[in-house]
Amino acid sequence: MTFDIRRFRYVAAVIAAVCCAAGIYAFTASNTVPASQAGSGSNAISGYTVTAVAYTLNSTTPTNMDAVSFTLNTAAGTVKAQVATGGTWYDCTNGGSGNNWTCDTTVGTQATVAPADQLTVVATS
Amino acid sequence: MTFRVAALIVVLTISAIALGTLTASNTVPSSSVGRQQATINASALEPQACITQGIVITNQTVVTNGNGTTGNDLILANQTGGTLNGNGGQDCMIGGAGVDSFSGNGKFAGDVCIGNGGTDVNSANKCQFFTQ
Repeated sequence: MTFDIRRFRYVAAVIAAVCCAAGIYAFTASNTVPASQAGSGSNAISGYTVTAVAYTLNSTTPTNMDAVSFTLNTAAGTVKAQVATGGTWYDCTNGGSGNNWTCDTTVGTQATVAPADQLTVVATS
Repeated sequence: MTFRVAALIVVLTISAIALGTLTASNTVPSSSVGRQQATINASALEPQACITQGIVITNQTVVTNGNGTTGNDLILANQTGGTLNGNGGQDCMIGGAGVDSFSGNGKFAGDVCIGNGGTDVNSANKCQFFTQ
């Protein structure tokens, strides 16, 4: 029987490596990590089409504009309108249903016909 | 050399698989945001009563308490009342709470007047008169 020194060294190195790995594993403490959420996604943002615009003039003072109404092509959550460039923004309501909206242009600053030059409608879903 | 290329391919493949596993997707609903603009002129402001009578406004400047043009005008009174004169064309004249005096081409010449209160004057049937 012969003693192979090279094989002995190889086996000893393997045993040492295994012992080190086991030791490291034994001394490795575990942390508590809560679950978390992260991710990415995308979808389309589309615009609105405004149709059937109608203005209501005040019957007592026809030069005053009391309301503007219109129809949006799809549902919206918040709608505001402006009837003069740089003028007051008026909140619009739809009574809780449908896509027909009316903006009361008497709230705050009464809208008048003279400066009314451009209807601007902004809407978000 | 061949071994290095093969090793690189293996590493890249493992990395791609790992990234694919870790990339989560969110559910995002579609949404709408918009801003629309349209010009406001006399045609846009024309009341339904005049539209129903077939008046098509051609002068896009609103006339307030005064004289219209030879075209088809939208003439608006103020609160205190005044004289609304259509002049030529088929005009839409809107009175207010005061006493308004309408002057047009005649009842059958196509002018329409809407009183909206007050003791309005439509002498000699200068226009087709509606109370509201």
